Amino acid sequence: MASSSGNDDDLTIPRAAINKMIKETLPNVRVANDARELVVNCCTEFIHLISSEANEICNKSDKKTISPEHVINALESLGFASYITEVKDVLQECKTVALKRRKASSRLENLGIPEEELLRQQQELFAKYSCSSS
Amino acid sequence: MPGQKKQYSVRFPPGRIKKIMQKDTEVGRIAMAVPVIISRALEMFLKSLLTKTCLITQAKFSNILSVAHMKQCIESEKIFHFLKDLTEEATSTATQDNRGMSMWPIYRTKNNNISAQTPSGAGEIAL
Repeated sequence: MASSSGNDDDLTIPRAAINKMIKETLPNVRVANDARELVVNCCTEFIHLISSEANEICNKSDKKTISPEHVINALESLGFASYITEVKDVLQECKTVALKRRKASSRLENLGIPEEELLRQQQELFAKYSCSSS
Repeated sequence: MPGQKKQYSVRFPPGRIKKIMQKDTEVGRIAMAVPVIISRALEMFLKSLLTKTCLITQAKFSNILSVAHMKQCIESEKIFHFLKDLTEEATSTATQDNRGMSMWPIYRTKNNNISAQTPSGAGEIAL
């Protein structure tokens, strides 16, 4: 989605998502508008904190791409080790979804039967069953 | 766990997270799952920050969670210390502009010259 208004410096987590988070975490608490804005900016800082550390860990390894493992190690070294269990759960979900997606697309590829052929086969089947019923 | 589609009610946009990460020019390629797990970590982080700040709000018998409460929370725990600079900017802006954070490029600058300054005498925090 191309950003029509503003430049790259306006990159933050959407305010609506933050408001939702606040509502869910503190359902009966009023939160000042400038406090909400501060929360939005805390998100950016947190992301930069984790990214930086994960990037350093990545650079030290032989890899060029920041992997989930790098992020997990970053959380550990930055003092967020208590987050790791849940983060690993999410990672597992990601892997499961990715696997399902790969299986689904390979199944379609292996069919390899073009649509007209499938239609023809369907007609054949219809013909066969109408014959057998009469 | 089986049968549950999505366990998390709030999720932050992975695409946006990736863009934020890549603002740092040192950061190169990022595996697909990474923004998703960072989204989760961020959720947990916010839950922790908000809950702990709220304790301060309640301790002060305040009706509304404010920047001041957040600042106090951030200073009180080592894990939040990376946010200290952010709160310095936020507090100094808050005393100048009581309308609230509507224009955050102003919020981000250190030297604020907001013409519509409410004359804050007693409320000013000397930094």
